[in-house]
Amino acid sequence: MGINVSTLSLQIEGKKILRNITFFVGEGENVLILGPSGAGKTSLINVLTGIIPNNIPGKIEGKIEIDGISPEHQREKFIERAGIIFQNPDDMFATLKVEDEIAFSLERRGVSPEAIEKKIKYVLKEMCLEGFEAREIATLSGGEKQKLAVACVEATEPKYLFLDEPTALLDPLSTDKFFSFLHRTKRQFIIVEHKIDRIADLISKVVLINENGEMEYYGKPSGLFKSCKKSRYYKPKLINISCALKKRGLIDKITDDRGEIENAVKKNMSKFQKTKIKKHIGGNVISEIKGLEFSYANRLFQYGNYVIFGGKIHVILGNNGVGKTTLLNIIAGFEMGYSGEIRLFGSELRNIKRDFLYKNIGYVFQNPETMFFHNTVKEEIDYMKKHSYLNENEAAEWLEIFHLEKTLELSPFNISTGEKRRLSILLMVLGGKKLLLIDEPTFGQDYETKIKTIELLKKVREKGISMIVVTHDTDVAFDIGDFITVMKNSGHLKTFVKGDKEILSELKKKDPVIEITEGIIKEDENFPLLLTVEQWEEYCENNL
Amino acid sequence: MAVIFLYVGFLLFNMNYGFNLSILILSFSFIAITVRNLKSLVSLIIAVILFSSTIFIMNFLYYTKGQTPVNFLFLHGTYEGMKRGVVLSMRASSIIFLSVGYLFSTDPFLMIQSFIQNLHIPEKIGYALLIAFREIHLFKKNITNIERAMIIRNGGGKITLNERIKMIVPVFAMVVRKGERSAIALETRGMLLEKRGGYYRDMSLRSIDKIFVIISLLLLLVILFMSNLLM
Repeated sequence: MGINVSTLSLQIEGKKILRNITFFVGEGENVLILGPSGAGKTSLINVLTGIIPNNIPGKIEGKIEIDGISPEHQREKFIERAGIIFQNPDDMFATLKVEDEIAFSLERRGVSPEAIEKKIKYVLKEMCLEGFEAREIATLSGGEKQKLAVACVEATEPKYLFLDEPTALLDPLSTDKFFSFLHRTKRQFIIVEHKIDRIADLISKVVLINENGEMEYYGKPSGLFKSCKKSRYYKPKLINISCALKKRGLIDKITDDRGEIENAVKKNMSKFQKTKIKKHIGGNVISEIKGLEFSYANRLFQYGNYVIFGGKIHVILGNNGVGKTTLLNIIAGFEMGYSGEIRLFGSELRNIKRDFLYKNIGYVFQNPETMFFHNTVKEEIDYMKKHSYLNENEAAEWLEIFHLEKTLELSPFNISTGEKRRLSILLMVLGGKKLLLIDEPTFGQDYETKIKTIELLKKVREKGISMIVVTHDTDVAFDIGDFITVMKNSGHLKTFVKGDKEILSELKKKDPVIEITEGIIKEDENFPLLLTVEQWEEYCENNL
Repeated sequence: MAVIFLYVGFLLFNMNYGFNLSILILSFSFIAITVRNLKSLVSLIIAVILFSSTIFIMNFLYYTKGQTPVNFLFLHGTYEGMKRGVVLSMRASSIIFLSVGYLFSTDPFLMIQSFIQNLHIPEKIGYALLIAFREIHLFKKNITNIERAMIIRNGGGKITLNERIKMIVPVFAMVVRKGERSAIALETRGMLLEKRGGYYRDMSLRSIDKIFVIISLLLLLVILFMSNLLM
């Protein structure tokens, strides 16, 4: 019994994706699969669930058995004992209403209509979706859709859950609810997930795959997490902080215990120089919004006032559906039915000519593929050069910063997620735009790719380009934001300058790094506002 | 659906005023019951009046077999053209009302379920249609975003024909990927398992459905008989 993977190798279109993977999952064990973007984590889940080679072609060598069943050859038996949840819940739905969606899987397992009705009520209650039976799926929020996807799988009572980045598209609140479910469920699960902090206590084993598709680590989480030598991208955030503190001799052992880290810092308060992070205040105002209101889909967004400074990054932080993208669309001139005043580069938006507006404003869409129209990356870049006033030297400088040389002859649709995101930003800066509107730049990315994207945006800022970045990711907000605006329901905006501690009271769901800093600040208000792992590491490196 | 097909079928082969007028009244009653939103109803009626007026005027003015000159308002046409125009505009209005009424009164999921259960169309085709229906709004949103991205990329210039052709690339890529992902997800959820113990939504014909079909057929026969009798 259990999941037995032995010397597994995978080739897709002649390219080796996975090499010699061997691991065993015993009764009651949960496994976390980690690795950099493109290492083959999703491919491993696809092989374990028989999607490769049954639905996606691929050549498999080695052995996979799940309770003695081959997911490739004994498809029906396997499907009856497995539940699979994908990154985007929308991909899983085939019907229009909640109850029909849950009934879909049950009907095919021979459950009678009467039993299906009872089951629907039961799983909806379990997933806190009571009363949602007749709701149209299209009207559900992202978090509700993911809960429905879980309800559909839970209803079939699988023994194993296979989860491929199930929280990648969710905001912190919905993510929290998803992890609460994982804490409650009786099922065993194998998960690909980057939010390691949230799941570390549920995991029995970790499989770490490197960029060549080889298994770099297999074993108990402590073997990987409690060592500062192994890559920082595959550890809980608190371990990285304790590593930074240990390097400076401020903590005795590597730990992910919030209390221990907090106490270690408090004991060494005198060593912290209480260096305040510089506050960025003001600059030249390039755009100003006054009394902005907008009605959309029977909702009224009351954004109010907002100021955009030249050469700064303005982050708008908020949960899914509060109106962040709508605000970007208004500023970009896509939605003109607003009331109030929007002055961009000195003129009212309604009076700005289209060619002037789009020579100065760039928009990086949430899905970078929306922006690609050509056969190769080189053609995409050449097209932008044609529509830009930048000279050859300036363009060459940008190309060097974005490191896309290796992809020039490839299709923009076939490069990695991180490369697609880099290309989409590059296309805008090559266009010589002065203000970039960026929608969820780290959407669905792993930790390493996310950090690289953040670093890239900092380099864009160095060149004097202003940005409005909307996100629900606090790491992004606190790492790059010169001004951080919290957007509440109905679009209400409240802006904070970087380093302003007042922002802590505005955050509903806090990650453990923020909680530690908040705990220390409550005792000593002069403690620096360190809200991301990178800020802690930088502070320890430069000030201790 | 079969009843509507039958009514439309009879409309297409019948030039009788009485018959066309009766069906128009019947289809308008149908639409008045099914479209609850007054604004939508008024917009629909205006659109239908404009469309049917165009049909009437075109026939009145340009019916080639028309021989008897007639002046109607400021237009100079023929009597034969006028007769033909009246019937055709009533026919077009009835077909529009019946079709829109059907769209407003039918749940697409139940319709596909009915096809699967009663007409035994393959489930794969049925669910593919449903997924396509679900994706219409997403597809529209994607096209809007792609168009916006093109405007931003070309610096606010007009989108050329060549650029419009190029926009097909991302649209096509998104649709194909979405289709692939949905097909995989449905299979992993048990699409191919064959242990069915009954349908959660039973779509077999109920007594009320049978009564509805009988009344509709009787009504059609009565209209046919009366219209022929009166002419």
